[in-house]
Amino acid sequence: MRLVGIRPGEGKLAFLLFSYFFLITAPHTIIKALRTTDLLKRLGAGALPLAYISAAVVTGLVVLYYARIQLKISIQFLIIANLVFFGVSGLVLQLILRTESGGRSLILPYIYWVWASVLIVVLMTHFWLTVNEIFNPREAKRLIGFISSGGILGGILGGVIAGTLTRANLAQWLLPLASGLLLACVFVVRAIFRDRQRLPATTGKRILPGKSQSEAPKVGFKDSYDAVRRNPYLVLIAAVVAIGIIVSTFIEFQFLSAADKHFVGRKEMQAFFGFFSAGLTIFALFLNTFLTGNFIKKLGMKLTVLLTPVVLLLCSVVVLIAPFALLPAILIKGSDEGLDFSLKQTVREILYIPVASGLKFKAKPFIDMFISRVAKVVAALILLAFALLLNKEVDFLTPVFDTDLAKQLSWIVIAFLIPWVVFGLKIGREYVTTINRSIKMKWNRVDQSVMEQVDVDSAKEIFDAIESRDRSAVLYAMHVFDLLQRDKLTPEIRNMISEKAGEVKVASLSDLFNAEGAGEFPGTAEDICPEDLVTDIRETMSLDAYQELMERHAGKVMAESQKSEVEKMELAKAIGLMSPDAPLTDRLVALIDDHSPDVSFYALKSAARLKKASYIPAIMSKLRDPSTREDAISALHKYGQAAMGALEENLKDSRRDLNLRKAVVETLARLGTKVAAFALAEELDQGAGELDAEIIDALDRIRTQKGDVQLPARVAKRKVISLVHRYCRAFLDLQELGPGADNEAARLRMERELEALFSDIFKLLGLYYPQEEIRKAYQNIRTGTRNSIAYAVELLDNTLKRDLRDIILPLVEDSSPSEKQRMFQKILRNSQES
Amino acid sequence: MKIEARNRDDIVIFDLEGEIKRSEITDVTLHQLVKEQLDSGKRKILLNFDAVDFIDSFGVGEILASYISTHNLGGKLKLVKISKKLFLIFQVTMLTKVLDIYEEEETALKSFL
Repeated sequence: MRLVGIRPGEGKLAFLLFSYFFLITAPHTIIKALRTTDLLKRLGAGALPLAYISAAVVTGLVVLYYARIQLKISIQFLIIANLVFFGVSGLVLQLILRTESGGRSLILPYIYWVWASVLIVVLMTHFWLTVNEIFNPREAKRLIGFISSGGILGGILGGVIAGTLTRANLAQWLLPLASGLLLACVFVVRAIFRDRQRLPATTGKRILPGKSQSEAPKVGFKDSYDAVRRNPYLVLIAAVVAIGIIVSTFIEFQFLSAADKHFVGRKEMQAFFGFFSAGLTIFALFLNTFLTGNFIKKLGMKLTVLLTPVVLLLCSVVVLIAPFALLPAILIKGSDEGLDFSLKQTVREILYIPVASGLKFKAKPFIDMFISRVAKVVAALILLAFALLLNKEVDFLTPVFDTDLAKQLSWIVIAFLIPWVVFGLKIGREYVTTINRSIKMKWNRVDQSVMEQVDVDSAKEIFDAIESRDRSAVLYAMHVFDLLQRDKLTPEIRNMISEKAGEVKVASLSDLFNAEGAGEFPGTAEDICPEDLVTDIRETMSLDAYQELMERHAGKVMAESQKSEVEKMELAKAIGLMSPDAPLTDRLVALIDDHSPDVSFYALKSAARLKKASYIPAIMSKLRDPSTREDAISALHKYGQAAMGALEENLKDSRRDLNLRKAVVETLARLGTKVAAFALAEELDQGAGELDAEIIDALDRIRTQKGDVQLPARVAKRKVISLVHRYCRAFLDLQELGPGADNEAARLRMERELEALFSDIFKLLGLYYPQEEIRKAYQNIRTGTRNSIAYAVELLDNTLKRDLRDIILPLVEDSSPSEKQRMFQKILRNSQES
Repeated sequence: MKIEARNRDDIVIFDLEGEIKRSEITDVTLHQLVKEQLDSGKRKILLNFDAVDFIDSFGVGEILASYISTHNLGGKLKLVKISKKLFLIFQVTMLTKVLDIYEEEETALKSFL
């Protein structure tokens, strides 16, 4: 079971769907051989365009009828009713064909053709609708190969039976046998619907709408048409499907023309079609088993969608170059149908998967039934127009048989393959976009939004102003002055911070200035004119007399160790108000170095204002201490580019204190410049790894704010691989850890390590690939539902390049611990070998 | 300042006591304690300010850093039982635009659901 990707619990449903597909393709293959031979032998290949048009028109009417009856009955009933109808009508057709008038009729081959066309379109559409609704993208990708094999097996057995019974002169039993298989399928469909009703709600998707589901989407033709028209992705699917049908119709015409030319007897032709179908499906089985999954896995959806048109382009060239005969026709028909049964069909079904369920329910039948039929009519009309263009004889929409017409048709095939490739490229891109849209971002980094919503510096100033109120009138006054300078002294803030307002504010400032004979100061808060006040204070502080006075005061404060902390704080704060070239500012280094975190804080704030290079070493040393770290980071942040040299030096020097270096990383993250990002990336690449987690987070933050910052591919890839290897080793270590309470602490530690590594891997990927997509994928894998996890993995599958995809997907795929263990061991083995 | 952690289901409640000031901090800061809980997989953090008298700019920085670290990981950090005086300052400084503040612990706990 594991070999074919079936997991415990999925076996029964997968087998039923396998049988369902088998029981509709086996009769279809038989009927196809019968109806094609009947038409060619009675009317010739020239009858094909009219047959295509008739079949398309009738199928179109059937689609319209379906759109109406779908509103009234459940899908289960619809499928069963169809199976019974086609089973019984097959038997009736057999009876008519065996009558004398039936054998001579020129209309009956068309009816036969049309009936078979309607049968396959209706039954196939219902089958794939069922598959699409039951499985999510990852399950579908895993199981679709096995389920499709049911159809392929049906094709092989159907073809072999048709060929063998024809050769054994038992062809009259073929149609009754096909009808019997269709009737047997009724029981399988009933079993599928019974089984899906037992599925727990958490597994699988919202499943097929039944009569009991009142919310089941019921749609009409216009709804379906609008749904496709308004969705560019569905328009692209419709275009690719239509072109595929047109090309296949031309190729079929070429093939049947070659067969018509080659076979004289009915028996040989019918046996050939039977065995050809069987051989074709064996080829398709080979493609499906060994190539389809691998193509999708290795090339991704973007490139896989291009494979069919490219192969058909090569085959068409062969048909044009080689003489027109059965062999080149077999080559191109074999390639087209072989790919149609395997790769093309699988790709087409996968393309529908990211489409929202309700939308898909409207659009898929419309595209599969209606657009396909329109394409068939278009193909038939182009065929007739081409025949007229080449001056061939056309009688009642029936060109007279001409091998040159069939051969030259390759030019038209090539003309359609070119837009197919173009649309294929577009649809590959749109597929990823649609998958991307199917999952939501669950949260964003808030570093920037917090800073945008809150003026943190002013908020802190207000808290400090209030805190200083009972501590020092001087400090308080200087805080008020700061707020005034920032234009933050709004009436609310003024009321808030001035409970003791009047006398404290004015008295404290007066103390500072009047004590030594400084100038006048406004009497009340209401009288303050900010511009005048700022100018006054700046001018006052620049006065030589004031500088001398303060120098003497500073000397006393610094010299006397017993001097109070508050006086040093006042001094540190006052220095910040001076001009950078004032002699007193040299004293700030000692104040930054002060053992009191409060003194350091005021000194660091002043240093950030004055931005003198001589302060930087002292500021750096404060990054070690948790009580001053944030203030030092904030100061260095305000230095900006001027501090870069010192920051880089400390970042790279592994002898420095680790906490200091971590704080340097935080400072660079806040700076957020390209230069800062480059310094961080360089350390990530060349450092010993002890800062990796902090650097990765810092770069993630910078990239969030400035999308143009990107980690060099070489660094990103090397680091991701290294982290994945660490993750694999940690996972394997965890698996080896025995049970029991003794190991509980170690288990918790290892689980935390795994979680941290997993997060870092995704942050790193986001530094190289589109960050939003990677972040969405990470968030949904970590906290999403079963389906959103599947979409997230699919998004990664289609976003990452192969080298990283091959080692990332095993980390995120829904697999058992033992499967993961095997995959991780393989990753580690491969890394050792390379 | 004293900080004690307790759990209510998957919510970690930090009971803070004293003043959150740079001069009051011990070996481990509030932000470090919050980060430890985040590292262990917790994503719902409630800061109980019932016994907090005042905070300075350092305390503001600690709260905001804790908020950012939690929300960057898809978690939620909320505050409860802030004194009226402190709440008023939070309002004036616009911190209430960012921080979710509740009067009662039960209401705050329910808000995580």
